Amino acid sequence: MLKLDTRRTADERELVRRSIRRDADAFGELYDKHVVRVYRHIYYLVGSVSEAEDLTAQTFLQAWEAIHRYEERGAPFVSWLLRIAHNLAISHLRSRRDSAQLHDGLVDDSRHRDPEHVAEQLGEEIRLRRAILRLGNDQRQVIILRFVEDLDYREVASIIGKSVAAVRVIQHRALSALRKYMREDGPQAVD
Amino acid sequence: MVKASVVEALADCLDAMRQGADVEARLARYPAYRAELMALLEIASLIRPLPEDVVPSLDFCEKTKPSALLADGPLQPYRLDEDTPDIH
Repeated sequence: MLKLDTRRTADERELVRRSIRRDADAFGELYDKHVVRVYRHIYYLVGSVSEAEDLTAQTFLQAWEAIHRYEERGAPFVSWLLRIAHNLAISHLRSRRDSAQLHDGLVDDSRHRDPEHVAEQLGEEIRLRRAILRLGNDQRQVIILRFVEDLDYREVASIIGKSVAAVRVIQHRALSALRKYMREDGPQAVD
Repeated sequence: MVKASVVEALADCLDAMRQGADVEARLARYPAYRAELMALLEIASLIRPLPEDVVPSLDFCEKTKPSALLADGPLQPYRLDEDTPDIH
């Protein structure tokens, strides 16, 4: 398994090197590998298919334009993509003027539940999502990859370029930060 | 009682939660961290997994594939058609 992982990493490094030399086919292979992960990450943050697709396309466009900068940083490529995706999602959410849009996709079976419970849950999910958006990059990626994407520690470690032990530490810090932010936001605060 | 850091205790309790095991029994291993662990487990329980079928459409992937778009110059915005629902 270790040899296969090493080879996959080496294959991806080669694709990145070729992409830096403006090889669109190589970048297309990177796109194929990571488009679903990027899309799901963005969709979780914005809750809209159209916005997630737009922002996913923008993520890869920005990555194409800035890929020479990725090589210098040395972080795993998908982690770098997710960072770009997050920044785009944040900018997009800040530009939203209609607060009702923030509710899209948060509760998809509300018609089967007690309205008061639905309202309370919606408020809590909004506070949670706002709190996740405030997390630092590593913490946010661990939270989304572990809990939203349901990946195991080894998979998360591979994606963000850290050890399994480090992922557990980040997990603890991220949940502690979420607890703090949600307390600060309060149960009634909804934009 | 198990001697472990709060990080390890949290990971252990989260595993129990994920597996549907007895979380209370797992918490009992770490009495020194109980209050903190319960608070963090409550936060973790609020974060819902995204369904597996939340994926970009094949149409989107084909139309925004870099080799297709870059061949004609700068990427153009991709727009859903009017009949496609906006929520998975």
